[in-house]
Amino acid sequence: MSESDKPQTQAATPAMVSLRAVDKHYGPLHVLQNINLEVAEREVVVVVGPSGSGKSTLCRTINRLETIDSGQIALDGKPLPVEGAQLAQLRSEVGMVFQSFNLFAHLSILENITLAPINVLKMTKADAKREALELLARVGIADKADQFPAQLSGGQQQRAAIARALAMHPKVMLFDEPTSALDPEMVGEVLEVMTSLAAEGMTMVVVTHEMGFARRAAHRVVFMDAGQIVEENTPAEFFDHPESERARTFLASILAH
Amino acid sequence: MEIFTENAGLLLDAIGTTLLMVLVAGVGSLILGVLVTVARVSPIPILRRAAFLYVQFFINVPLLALLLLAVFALPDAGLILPLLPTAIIVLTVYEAAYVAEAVRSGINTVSVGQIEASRALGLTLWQSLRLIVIPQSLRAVVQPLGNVMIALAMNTALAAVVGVVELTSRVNKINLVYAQPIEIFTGAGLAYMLIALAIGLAAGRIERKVAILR
Amino acid sequence: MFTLGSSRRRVAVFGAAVAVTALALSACSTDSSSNVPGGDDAADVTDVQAMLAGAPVADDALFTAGSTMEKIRERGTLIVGEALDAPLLSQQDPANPDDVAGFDAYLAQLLSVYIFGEPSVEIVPPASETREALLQNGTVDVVFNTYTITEERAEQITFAGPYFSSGLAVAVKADNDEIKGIDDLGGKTVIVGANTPAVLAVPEEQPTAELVDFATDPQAVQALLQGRGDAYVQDYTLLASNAAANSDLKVVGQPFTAEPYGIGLGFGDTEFKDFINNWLLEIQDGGQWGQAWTYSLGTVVESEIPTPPTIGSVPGS
Repeated sequence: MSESDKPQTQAATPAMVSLRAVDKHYGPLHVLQNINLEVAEREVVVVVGPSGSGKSTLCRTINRLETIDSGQIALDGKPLPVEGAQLAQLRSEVGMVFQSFNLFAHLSILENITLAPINVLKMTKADAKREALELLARVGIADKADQFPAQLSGGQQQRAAIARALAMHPKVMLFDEPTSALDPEMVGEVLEVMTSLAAEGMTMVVVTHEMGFARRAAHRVVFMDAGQIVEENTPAEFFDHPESERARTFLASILAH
Repeated sequence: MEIFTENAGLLLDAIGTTLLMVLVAGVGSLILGVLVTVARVSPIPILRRAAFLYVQFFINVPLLALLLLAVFALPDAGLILPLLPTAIIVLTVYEAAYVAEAVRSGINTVSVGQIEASRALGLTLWQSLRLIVIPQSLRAVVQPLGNVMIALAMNTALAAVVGVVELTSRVNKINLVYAQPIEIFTGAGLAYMLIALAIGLAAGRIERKVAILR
Repeated sequence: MFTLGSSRRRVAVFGAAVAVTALALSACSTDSSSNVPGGDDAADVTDVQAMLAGAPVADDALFTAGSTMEKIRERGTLIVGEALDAPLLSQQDPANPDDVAGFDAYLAQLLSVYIFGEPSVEIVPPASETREALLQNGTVDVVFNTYTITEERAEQITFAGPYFSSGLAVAVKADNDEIKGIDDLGGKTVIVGANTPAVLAVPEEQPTAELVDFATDPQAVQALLQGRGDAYVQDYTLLASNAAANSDLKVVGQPFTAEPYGIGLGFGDTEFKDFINNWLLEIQDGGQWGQAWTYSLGTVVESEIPTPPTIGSVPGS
């Protein structure tokens, strides 16, 4: 996908995801420092940075798997509820893909995907199943519907996990290092699904080390280090002309491999 | 051997009572035990506290004392139930504490990721307990639960003390007539062994069937 | 042997009846058990000691080589299967475990004096259902345990005696005027002690009566007073002591059975049986039998010392 193929973001629409002055500590560790980030509808933002930079934590605060100490987070213009039914409702609108897949081990792939649509969206079993099979076909594992997670390869599991998140018709998808736990030969199949998702206009926040994906699919790259957003720019600008010394060091260390 | 053939009807009746107690108290304690576990891991402090106290109480008071209290002390408080239902209720609440302990150890085998994934999908706490945590916990503790059920089957013998005519009580009575304790109690012991064996085999079967591949 | 089993994993067939007593006494302490027989009007310890001091001692000639009594004398202590929870018959003082009082207990002590010249008894509390086994495998030398002589039992073990004759009677709540004896128990719910002769005797007299059995006498009394049954059938002397201690309960009618109690011995040990029967005659003649009765059952039954049953008078003895 070339730069011109990417869906264009519309500056006029209100931000789908908005973080304002967000701070978080783990004990003495200041893991998020005055984070300000807006993600527009249909925008794909890739967050990169060295490990321990706080990028995963940032991603997990957006659906409140991590709480914050201060600041505001809003989704589609609405502030994040604290707990209870409203929080569950909000989470149902945010898809999340984990590094370790986290497919439900006691359920088949099909049941993994239909569980939340049936129990949260109150879809009929038949509808949920039909949609699930469509999604599985879309991520290329239609033949695995009746198998259990442990019977699938890592790449297949992660694609199933993406299908599970998509089954909820999310407004935004969060990817927390989705390929970090995969064997190298399986990274491609997952990135392919993510790339096509981006091409279809899904709003995405992706924490990843896959610079190729960032360059290919992202509208914007956010570079974090030591709990701060150091730099954000278009992929081309960021990769070719990093502004900060820290970003240059980071890119040099990655490209050295 | 003629002791057993001559008293076959009475013995079968008594084994029936024993099995009835095992079945009803078994199902009851599984349900109650899971509910206690849910309370124990719930975010509501008073429920957690109550469930903790429940488990501690029933694990630390001998079943015999509970049976005697239920049969002899509750009537003084104005609550008098027939003996068999009383024994079944006591066995149920008692074994539920052990079920709760077993299931709680199963909950510890459910990874945080499973819970995060369910919460991220918008399941409420109760839904993620009911749909993810409890089913996975139960699968992990089939054998321990089988052992609790075997203990329950053995513990039904204590009901003989409070007048329930189950297997132990019946063989006591038969022995009173025949005065052949070795044969009679060996026979009863074998019957209990068969019950335990059946439960153990069933647990093994269920475990193989529902085991989670990891 | 007297273990209060709290281990839940064991097969609780044996021992339950033994373990229950201590609990029953503590868990069910209502007014019914507050007046423990053996309290105020019970025998003085010194009376019992005097009885033992004056008791007959066997002639050395009676200890034939290789006999059971000779082995016991060699060992130096008599091992007796005997209850620890039977008021008036054999009850242990919880505060002083060495003090076991009652008719059976005194007779066991008298027998040990007969063998050793001084009391030396080790008690193994049997469950009613294990008495034959304890004798057969030699765990105990003798059983003093309100052990009714029956022909079935006599095929397993040997009885000396009978040393006492009792009978089953009926007790009801004090306000019950409907039941006047065993004849009125047809179709009624009848409480009995588990593994007591009443379990067999009541259905023989009243086939339509429904039996509920409880492990200990205090439990049975409690159950009667709580209305779990219409009547309680038990040994007359035991009921009399219950009625003396608790005005909510009364004994109605006369004993309707004769229960000859025997001394259980290893099967076929006629030498030992003769030895013990001989001793029984000696303590009857010497007055110790009557004293043992006076200091135990005699404290609650208002009557003269009964005449002991004739030794060997019962089928099975």
